[in-house]
Amino acid sequence: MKEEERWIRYLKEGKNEEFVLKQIYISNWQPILSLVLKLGGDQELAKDIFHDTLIIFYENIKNDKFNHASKIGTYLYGIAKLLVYKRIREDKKLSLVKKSFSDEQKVYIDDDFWVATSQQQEMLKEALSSLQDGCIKVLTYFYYQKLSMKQIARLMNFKNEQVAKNKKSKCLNYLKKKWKELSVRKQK
Amino acid sequence: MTVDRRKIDAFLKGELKGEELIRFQEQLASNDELAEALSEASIIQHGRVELKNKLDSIHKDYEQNKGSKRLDQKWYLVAAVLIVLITIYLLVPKKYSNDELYTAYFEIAQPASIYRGDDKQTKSSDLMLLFQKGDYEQYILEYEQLRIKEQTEKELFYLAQCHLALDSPNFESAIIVLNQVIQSEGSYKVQGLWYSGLVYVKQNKKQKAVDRLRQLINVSDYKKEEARELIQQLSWE
Repeated sequence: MKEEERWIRYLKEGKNEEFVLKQIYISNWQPILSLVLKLGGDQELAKDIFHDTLIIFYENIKNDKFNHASKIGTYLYGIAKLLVYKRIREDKKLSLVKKSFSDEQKVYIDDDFWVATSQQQEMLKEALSSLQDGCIKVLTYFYYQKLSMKQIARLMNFKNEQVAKNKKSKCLNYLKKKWKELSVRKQK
Repeated sequence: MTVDRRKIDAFLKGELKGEELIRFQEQLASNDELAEALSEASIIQHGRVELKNKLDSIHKDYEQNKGSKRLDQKWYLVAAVLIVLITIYLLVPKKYSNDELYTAYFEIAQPASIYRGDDKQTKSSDLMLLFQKGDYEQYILEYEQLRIKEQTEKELFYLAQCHLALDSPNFESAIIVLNQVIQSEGSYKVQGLWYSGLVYVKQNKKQKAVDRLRQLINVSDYKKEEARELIQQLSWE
């Protein structure tokens, strides 16, 4: 099996994620940096675009939206290009460059994709800080990393899948309650 | 009632103001579906932020390594040496540590059959049930206690897997058991070769690792590609 296929499988199954991300990062940072610089951006913007690109790539794998016919590098380049294009529309600083984006990459980007800035994280922290660490982990494993109950049980050292399932429901209910409380408190 | 995802995002971003915010908060207090969607959205944002932090730290490491390399090069700015270095850099792929190689290639073997609690209870199925539940310590304990006289290769092989799957893996014990599996010359031999090769990588016993992986390539297609890659990576030391 080719190395890239294994990396995709590892990410899909939640194995060795940090190692795989590091390898993909090292291999693809320079091409994305060159792309952003060529289009009039700077190193900081390139980093931002690259990190969003990797997050979208990661989520597409988790949600079965990754195009397996593509090489990882080509796929990332395609996402990054679309993200730069989006920024050009939003941010006039990059409008100097008129670049054709007609070469279509078969990539998927959710139109509503966003990542909370440090300011926006305050709202999240308010709700999540009251949850036990274990609760946040279980919910993140389930809703973000898309791990199975069996994997969650193993990672969290639970006796079996049923324990993981119960914990997830309990934590979700707690978080729902917390959001409701916060909204009532803010209305007063 | 359908949930407006954009409204949820706007709320989390702090973009809802005045009347709109009050209406959203009122709905949230009484609408369970909305509370659930908001909870999921907040967890997804949390996941993204965590991942972004991870990527930031990878970037920092990358820049630091690049920086230190640049500093070293100041002392070695002789053109000829540089050419040699660049050639070597281009020809030789990236070098990973043995720990990184082990982490990248190791994954716990999964039994072909699924064991259920209501299966006809045998010592073997009891043990395999424990393995399937991820109760590796108990497997090791019960294996030792039972001292099964007619040890099958399968139980031995999964005993080695248990040693490797522990939070603090016991590589020494795993290799002893894997060697027994290989010596028994049965159907688990090839898996034994692969895993013992990997353990030797982890233990920095390069020659033994290469020997095992070559043996594997010669006798089977199982993990053949991976074994070749590993040998290649090890030969760059």
